[in-house]
Amino acid sequence: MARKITIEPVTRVEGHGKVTIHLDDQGRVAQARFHVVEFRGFERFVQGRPYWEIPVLVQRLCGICPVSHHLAGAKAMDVIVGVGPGKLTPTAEKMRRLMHYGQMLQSHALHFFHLASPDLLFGFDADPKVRNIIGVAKTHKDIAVKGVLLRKFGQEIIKATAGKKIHGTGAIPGGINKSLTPEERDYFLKSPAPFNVDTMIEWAQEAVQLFKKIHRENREVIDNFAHFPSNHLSLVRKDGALDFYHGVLRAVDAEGRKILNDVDYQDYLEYIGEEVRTYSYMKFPYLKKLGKEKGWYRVGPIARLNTCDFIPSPRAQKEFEEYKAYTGGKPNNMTLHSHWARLIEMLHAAEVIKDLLNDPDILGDKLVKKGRKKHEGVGLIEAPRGTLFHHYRINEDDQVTMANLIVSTTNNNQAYNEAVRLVAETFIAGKPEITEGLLNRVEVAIRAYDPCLSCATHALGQMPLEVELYNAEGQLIDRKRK
Amino acid sequence: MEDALLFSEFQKVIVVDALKKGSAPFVFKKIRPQKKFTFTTHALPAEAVAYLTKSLYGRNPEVYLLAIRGYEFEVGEGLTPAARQNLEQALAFFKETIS
Amino acid sequence: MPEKIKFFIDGKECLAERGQTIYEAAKANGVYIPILCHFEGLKPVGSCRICSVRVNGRWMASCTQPVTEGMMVENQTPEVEEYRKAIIEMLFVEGNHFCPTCEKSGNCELQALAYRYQIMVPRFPYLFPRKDVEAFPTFLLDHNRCVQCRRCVRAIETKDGRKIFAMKNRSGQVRINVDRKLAAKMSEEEAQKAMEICPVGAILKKEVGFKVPIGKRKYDFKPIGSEIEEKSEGVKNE
Repeated sequence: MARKITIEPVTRVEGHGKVTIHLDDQGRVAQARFHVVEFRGFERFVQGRPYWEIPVLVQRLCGICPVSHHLAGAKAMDVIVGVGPGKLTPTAEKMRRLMHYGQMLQSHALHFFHLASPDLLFGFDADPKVRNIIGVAKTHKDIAVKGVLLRKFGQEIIKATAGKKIHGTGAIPGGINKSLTPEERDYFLKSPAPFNVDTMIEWAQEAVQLFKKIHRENREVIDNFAHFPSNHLSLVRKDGALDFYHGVLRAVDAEGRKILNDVDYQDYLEYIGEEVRTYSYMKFPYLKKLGKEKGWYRVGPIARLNTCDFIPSPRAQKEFEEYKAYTGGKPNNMTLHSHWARLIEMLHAAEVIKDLLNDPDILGDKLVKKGRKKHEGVGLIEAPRGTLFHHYRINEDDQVTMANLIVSTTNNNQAYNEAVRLVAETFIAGKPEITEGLLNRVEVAIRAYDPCLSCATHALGQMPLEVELYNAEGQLIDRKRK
Repeated sequence: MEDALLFSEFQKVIVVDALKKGSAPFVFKKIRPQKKFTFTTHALPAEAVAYLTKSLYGRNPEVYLLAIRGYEFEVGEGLTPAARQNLEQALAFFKETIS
Repeated sequence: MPEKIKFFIDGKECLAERGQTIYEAAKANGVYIPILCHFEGLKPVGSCRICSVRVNGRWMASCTQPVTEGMMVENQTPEVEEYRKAIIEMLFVEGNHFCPTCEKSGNCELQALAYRYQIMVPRFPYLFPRKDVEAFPTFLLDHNRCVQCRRCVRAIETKDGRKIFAMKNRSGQVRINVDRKLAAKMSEEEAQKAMEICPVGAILKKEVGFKVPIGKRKYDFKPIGSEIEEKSEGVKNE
């Protein structure tokens, strides 16, 4: 007897981003789905490992922002060793913040300068031979030089705090394993220009001006590109300030109404659900209060600047005020404004780095604390691309028994689909085919949220991307790769 | 990209890599800055890095490529005996060149 | 003062006390011979064979073999070094050694030996054995990383001289067996001592890991053995 075996999800496309677009009877876009292989198995293979290994183990999830995983894991372990939020020594807390803000600086610089700026400087339909960072180096030398050094500065901060630029060991349960020496600090504060924190602040400020200039010249395109209403979620400091390292969970809707009111993330399971859909390995998180249909949300720079009330550093706050004024104080729902938000955050990160370097606690020697042990801990952090959840349970023998991770890309899962659907709607309109223009725009939309998917990092200009178009009967009618 | 900054700090740069196709035991050649487009963030040809060094930092170090011929390129494979010989010869050559 | 005996390592003339092993005498003469199962202060057992040398064409474990007058020892010859390298590779493929996430990284003797012997890819196939992690009140025993050196067996005892660690099974099934009752009484200090005696990351004192930052670990800047070789350089310079 014949048997049909179906293995789902069937969408593993190694090294490629894959998008499927489904049309209705009238040939209009009914649905778009973004597929990505985010199946890493980490939640399974950390089981049985000693809990103190977690921060070093889980950061291997990612080579671009390992610090986020390292710190989210460490924060969960702080709770487990009884040194939860606010209880670390000042030196440990500030060293961790320094590491994280260094990470924000380097990741945002990479995201904007190396990956996104070619789209904005040359236009979405420019020849891929020009629309890449080498093209930027040729025509906008100044911008490329600054991008490279801003990133390097952030990476050197990571190295000074974690021991290595990638996959270090700085954060340990209940603290940190090193503080800065005065020489390490002065390297960042007092090196001759350009490699010092004051120059980085200047350059980060210039990057915001650059985006604003591009925006002034292309307002229509930038404002209308994948503009869709959604909820927004992030951590905010208790007083409503932007904070990348720690805070309470807040969500607002597309109109700015608070739909999650500054709750303690240790209880995140009360507020956040995760839906499994057959076509994707990636789960779909949603706010339980609003349900699976309406509860999806965006995370990342746009979301953070929509949820927070202010930015606690003067230059970034000034830019924030201008940014907020553009939407009349309402949440900003424009996909490409994520670059604007990202650059304001980069400026903030540079300002915070300077404050931390000037804080004597950063040289302190009280590094680790120990409290009453617990068997469960949750650690959240605002990673460059958005809120990152780490949740663990351990047994009496100090071995991990359960891990649940919700990474930024997963949080943005529905937002990708939405952005791609809008782009497809605009571009398909009547002609059931995949054009070069559509491919380019799908790429730009994905890149606005996340350049660090395997598909998005592998190539510049030429992002390995596959788009498939299906008619109402579910038949494949076009497929294009780039 | 960051390698261009690194290149700019030196007068002479030798890039060593494995060679998939070409003559054994190794190829040693001077390379010129060139805009090469078939690149990814994970691999940028030395010519392109030299180009960036020149265009971004105004420096023009002498850049050489020491490409050592290998034969099997699978994850987890060791060196083939032939590749090992090539490596040894290349290493001897390298030591002589820099001394 | 007893008379010293003369012997040679790779042609270099050396002096040894009577009764010294080849390893001890080499060290006293500033010559490094790698060891793994041997630990200073413990009775040598010669089980891992990493310290093998050749004398008159015969393989010997230098940690157990006493020096004799006029002995010609081959130590850093290509043949001997290749033999040792193969042993290190076998240790890697027989266990599950994931250095990137192991807290012993940078302080691990097996890893340090692999660096010293420039091991890239082992010549033997990985066995990926299924091994477990055993928990005790003050420490964990990760069998994935155990190399059966028996250092813990020899070094760790109760105050009244009873062994806490022992060997179980034979050949491929061999594993460290822990007396649960005795292990339950081990203090944190004793667990710390056990962790230090372990050359790899198999014995892990509970609750603390990665405490030494990168850059301050034992082998971050200098390869294993350099402490012995440097001493020899120092002697030469004087």
